[in-house]
Amino acid sequence: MVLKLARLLWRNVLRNKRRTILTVSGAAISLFLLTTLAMTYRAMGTPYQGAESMPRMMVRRLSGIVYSMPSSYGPRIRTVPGVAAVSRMNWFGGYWVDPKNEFANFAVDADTVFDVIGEASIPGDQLQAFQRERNAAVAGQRLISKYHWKLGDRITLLGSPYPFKPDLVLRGVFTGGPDDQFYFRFDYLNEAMGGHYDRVSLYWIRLQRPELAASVSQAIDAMFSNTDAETKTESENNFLLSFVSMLGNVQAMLLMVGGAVAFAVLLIVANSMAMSIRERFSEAAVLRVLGFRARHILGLFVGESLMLTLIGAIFGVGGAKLLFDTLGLTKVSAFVWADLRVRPDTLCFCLAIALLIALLASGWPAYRASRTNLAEALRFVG
Amino acid sequence: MAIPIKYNWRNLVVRRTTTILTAFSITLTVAVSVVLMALANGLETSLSTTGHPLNVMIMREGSQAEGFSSVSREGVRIIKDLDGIAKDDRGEPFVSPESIVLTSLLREGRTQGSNVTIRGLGPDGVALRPDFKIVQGRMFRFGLREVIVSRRISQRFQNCRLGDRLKFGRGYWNVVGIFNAGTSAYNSEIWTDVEGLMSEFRRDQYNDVLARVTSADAAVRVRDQVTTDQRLHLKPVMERDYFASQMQTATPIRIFGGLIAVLMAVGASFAAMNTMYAAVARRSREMGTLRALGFSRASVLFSFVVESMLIGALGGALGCLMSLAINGVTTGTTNFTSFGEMAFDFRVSPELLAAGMAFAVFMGLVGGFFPAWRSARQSVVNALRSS
Repeated sequence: MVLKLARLLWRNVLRNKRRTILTVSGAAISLFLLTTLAMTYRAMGTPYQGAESMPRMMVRRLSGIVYSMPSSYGPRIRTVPGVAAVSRMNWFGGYWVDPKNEFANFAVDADTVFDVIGEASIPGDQLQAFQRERNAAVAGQRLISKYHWKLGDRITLLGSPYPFKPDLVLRGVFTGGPDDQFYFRFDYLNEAMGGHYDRVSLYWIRLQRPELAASVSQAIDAMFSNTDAETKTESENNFLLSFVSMLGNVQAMLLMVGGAVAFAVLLIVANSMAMSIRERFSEAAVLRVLGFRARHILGLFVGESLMLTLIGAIFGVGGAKLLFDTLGLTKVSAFVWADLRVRPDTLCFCLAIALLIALLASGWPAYRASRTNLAEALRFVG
Repeated sequence: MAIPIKYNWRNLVVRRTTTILTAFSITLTVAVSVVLMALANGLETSLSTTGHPLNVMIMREGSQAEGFSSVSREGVRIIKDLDGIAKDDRGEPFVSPESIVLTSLLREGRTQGSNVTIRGLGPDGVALRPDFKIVQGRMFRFGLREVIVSRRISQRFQNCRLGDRLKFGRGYWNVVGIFNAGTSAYNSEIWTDVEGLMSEFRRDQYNDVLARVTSADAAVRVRDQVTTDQRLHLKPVMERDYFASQMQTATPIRIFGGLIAVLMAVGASFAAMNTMYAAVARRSREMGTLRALGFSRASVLFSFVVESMLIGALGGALGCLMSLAINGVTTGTTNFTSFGEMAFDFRVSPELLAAGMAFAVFMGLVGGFFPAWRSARQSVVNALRSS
């Protein structure tokens, strides 16, 4: 019985090819948009997956990210119980060759930065080269793949707010961790700025255990309170989120547009189903006269709606996942970096929405078609 | 002879459900597009109307923004004596040396701070800005840790109301007034006196100097003197041009909005197309009758297109109405050149509404065209025979 109904369902879908194509395409495009918005919303909430449980924190000036701290803070932070490693980290803000080639580049302490990162791996000899050579630089695997760099390449960073152009040599590639970032040495920066450069924008620290976050941040901020350069220590995720919040109320905007788009998909499918069912009202009655039960009719129509929407979802949601996985975008806007790919939970969410839409779109007309008085239905002229 | 529009209207009313569903998907598309464009509009307006045409900002050579510039006291003295600088009503050079500080303040209801621009002005600073007006309280006095807050900032941030004590730098400051500065970027700032601000943050250099020149020619003369003076290493920028160049923040929003509008419009047009194809199929016999009565193919085609455009107009009107709700709502973002908060209003202009309506009718047109074409192609005999 189910198989017979399935064949009938499939035949119905193919009956009016033009309508099917228009509905499926409309749903696909809108679901693509919905997935993109959902992905962005998720990325704004948690810029990098797994960041919430990362045992890393950022120390910055309390009065704002544009102010700096002295280098003397570093060794003092290192003595705080619970701190496993510390590195200075200054945002350099340069690009490579073309202003379009923007990526996160920083001046860091070569001796400790990989202790801070923790989960990245870099071959021993490359790390040693980074720690030995003044103008050495390392970059993450994703960055290397994007720009097709090779070890030994000369890389010059242009366009930075700092008044010099570093001339660097790529000596290492790391995988895992923030592999879309680029690091060169703080002492190179120091020398280029005259040798007495004492302005550190950030201290990147690693905790011995994630649970120590609250006590470590309190201890560090207490250490420097009532000085001229008070600090604020926060988790890496919160630090990234502070940039997102600078953009404005993006999440509210995304919700509004996303909601409108989801509703639009509902309208597209509902419109199509309403027309289909209306045209086949008397057909449904004939089927019921022949012996099919109300629930079979319901199943037929709801099933048709599900089929249309799910095919649209495969193209729309699937297409979005494919596109963003390929693009591997990381930049949302100036200073706002996030992992812009469709995460598994977002994928499931969008498919669930598509399912819900399919059910809602056909629910009422299908119910009517399966339940109306037979005589009335047979008489019905659409 | 055209088929009367009443015929189309009657059909839309009879097929209420499908008309509403189709029109509403156009409504959503229009509403979303207008709101996003209103966001971009508001942002651009707040940046483009900043400045008196004869005000010149003088900053350090090579600085991208006021915040990263510096001018010495000596430099200010030299600027005051330049030929072409206007005089204020006391006969003094009409210039204001200024200092910019960014401080992190908490928005209402948030735990994450945002950077707000605090501007220290010289005695002539307020007079140089013609759109300035105190709306509550009074002007700050010099040297007494008093500040005035722009209306938008006072609405959005904690501790910024009249009479509040605001903490920044090394202590507290009293909010003695709320001001409005037209629709300019100054509407996202907190103002105080420059010497007080500089001593609080232990600075000995100003950030930049705002000066009024006597005429457009004088502006050129001042520019030449500033750029050729070896002691200075400064560059002059017309105040209007400075803020206009920071408008780049609005472009990504327009692109984002445009993309969303196009994608949603395609979906809505497909819905309209579906509706119109069904209408054409269902009314085959009617169309045949009308043709037999003497209406031409063109009339039939036109009639269907008009019907589809009517749906579009209905959807568009509702969408524009819905989008009016956002007009005037204040929101903010960060100007990533100066790194300060920039508050602005959503601006739904008449042009935007007209564009929204036109967009809606266009969607209707696109949705109705192919089905209408199809209807016109049928021969009268076949049409009359169909059920």
